[in-house]
Formats: sequence, structure tokens, C-alpha cells
Amino acid sequence: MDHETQFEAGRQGRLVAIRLKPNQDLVEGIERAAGESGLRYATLRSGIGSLVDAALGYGSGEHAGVTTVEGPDIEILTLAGELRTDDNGRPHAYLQGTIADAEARIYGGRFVRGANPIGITLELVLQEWLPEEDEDPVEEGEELP
Amino acid sequence: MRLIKHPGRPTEPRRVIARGRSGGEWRIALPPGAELGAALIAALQARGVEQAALQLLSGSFDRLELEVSDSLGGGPAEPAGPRKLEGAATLVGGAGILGRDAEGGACLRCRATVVDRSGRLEGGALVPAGCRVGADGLVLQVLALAGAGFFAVHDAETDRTLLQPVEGT
Repeated sequence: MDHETQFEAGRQGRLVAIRLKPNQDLVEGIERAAGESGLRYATLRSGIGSLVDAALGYGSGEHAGVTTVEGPDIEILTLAGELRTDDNGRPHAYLQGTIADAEARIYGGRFVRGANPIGITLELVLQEWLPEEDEDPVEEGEELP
Repeated sequence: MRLIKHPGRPTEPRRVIARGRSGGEWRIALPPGAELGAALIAALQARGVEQAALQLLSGSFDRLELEVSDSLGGGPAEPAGPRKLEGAATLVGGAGILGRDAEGGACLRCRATVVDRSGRLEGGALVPAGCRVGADGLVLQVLALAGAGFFAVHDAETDRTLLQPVEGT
């Protein structure tokens, strides 16, 4: 391993309260909401809601897998992660957590893009992260592409 | 991606967004025996906090009540009562949102994953009045929201009372 530890200095910024309505993907919905809020970088401070079905990834490379859970009535129990701006200037979400199915069985992993439709609602709070060395800060009220 | 049909028509916008700022942040440790809902709401109201994002960080419960949702998939017409878990349950993680109901009262929504005495994972939507803090206490990180918050309103699309973000609180 020749990777170096990365250290990013910064401070917390604005808070955004969000509700995602049914039948949109959890990952893409959060990314769109962050973009519409002008957040380039953010951490997820709280999130509760439900899914129609779920797909949770684990492992990497040749050991990667996906756990699929058939709903409906899947509760999101924990949801954690961050958003980082990508090469196109759009927020990209990295989200993981635990869920419970209708029989209260628990599953965990990374939420797979495009495969976790919101069931009834997702309510969450994002907090902006402002890196000291961000070369392209967003103005108040500005939306991202 | 499988979608679900709700009783009402889809309403716009699909993403409701309210922009605000931090109203302060606290680490709160609830003592053993405390009732989650009453103790947490009282502690926050004493500091003037009416809107908050909550993270359940560590601790345990000795009694849990978990909501059993009225099924989206055609379950029983009469919703079952809450599922009750007696005995020590160690917190794995959890989250919550504190908002206001239609009468201006506190509206607390929490979810948690725990591991029970047998080592089995459990979890769900907590009934705040039915959850009692265990011998380890319960530690939460509380981020107060200022200038934005959540209000419980009837949602025509799903025909349920749901928390909705609102600016200018």
C-alpha cells in the first residue's frame, strides 16, 4: 500500500432540511437535492425514511457483492455518508447504512445507485462542508449543474 | 427500479428543500431509566431547541417499542400494535428528527439498529414513549436547526402525516 492519508481542513457551513418524495432513487435524489441547494461538499447529519426495495453493496473488486431486499415496507434505520463534488462539478454521494424489512430482518451496506426507490418519504439534514482549499466556492443561492 | 402506487396523485416538487443554518450543537447523555421521548424533548425544550437533527451515538435500551407500519403491500387493514422488545438492547446506531406537529407540539421521529441479549440484530421505527434507556445510558449528538425545520402535515399523495421541510422557522 502506497496510499497516503489525506487531511482536509475546513469548517461546517449551511444546513439544509430535505424531504424526498416517493419513487425516486435515494442516492440520486440526495445528490439532486444537494445540487439544487448549492452544496458542493456535505455530510449527512440525520436521515430517516422508507424504501420500496433495497440494494446494498459490500466488498470491492472481485469480492464485491450486492444484497437485494424485496419490499415494500423497508425502514431505513441508519444512513450515513458524505457528498463530494465530482469532475463535472456535481455532488456525488457516498452513502451506507442499515435497513429492516417487513419481518424486522436487518441488512447493511452501501446504497447502490439507481436501486433504492423511496417508499413513503425520506427526511434528512445535510450540513455543508467548506474545505479551506476549495478553489470554486458556491455563492449563496447558487445551484450546481 | 420497482415503483409503488400511492393513494393520491404525485405532487410537485419531488424534492422539498429548506435552507437554514446551525442553531448550536450538543452532546446529550440520557440517564438509565429515562423515557426516550419525554426526556429528550424536555432536555431540548429547556434549551429552546424546537427543530433538530439527531444522531444516536452509543448506549443501550432496556425496553423498546417498534412501530409496525400499515403495509404498502396490501397488509392487514387493522395495523398491528407496536412490537415490544424487553431486556437489554445495545445500540448499534440510529437517527432522528425533531420537528413540530400541527398544534405546535414536539414531533420526534427516530430509527435505530440494536443488538439484543442473544446477539441478534433488531431495529425499526422507535415509539419514543415506549423506549426506556438502559444501564449504559444513551448518548446523542444534537444539531439544532435555525431558519428551517420540519413540520408534520398531511401528505395528499401518500395520505399520511409526514414531516415536511419549511423555511423561516
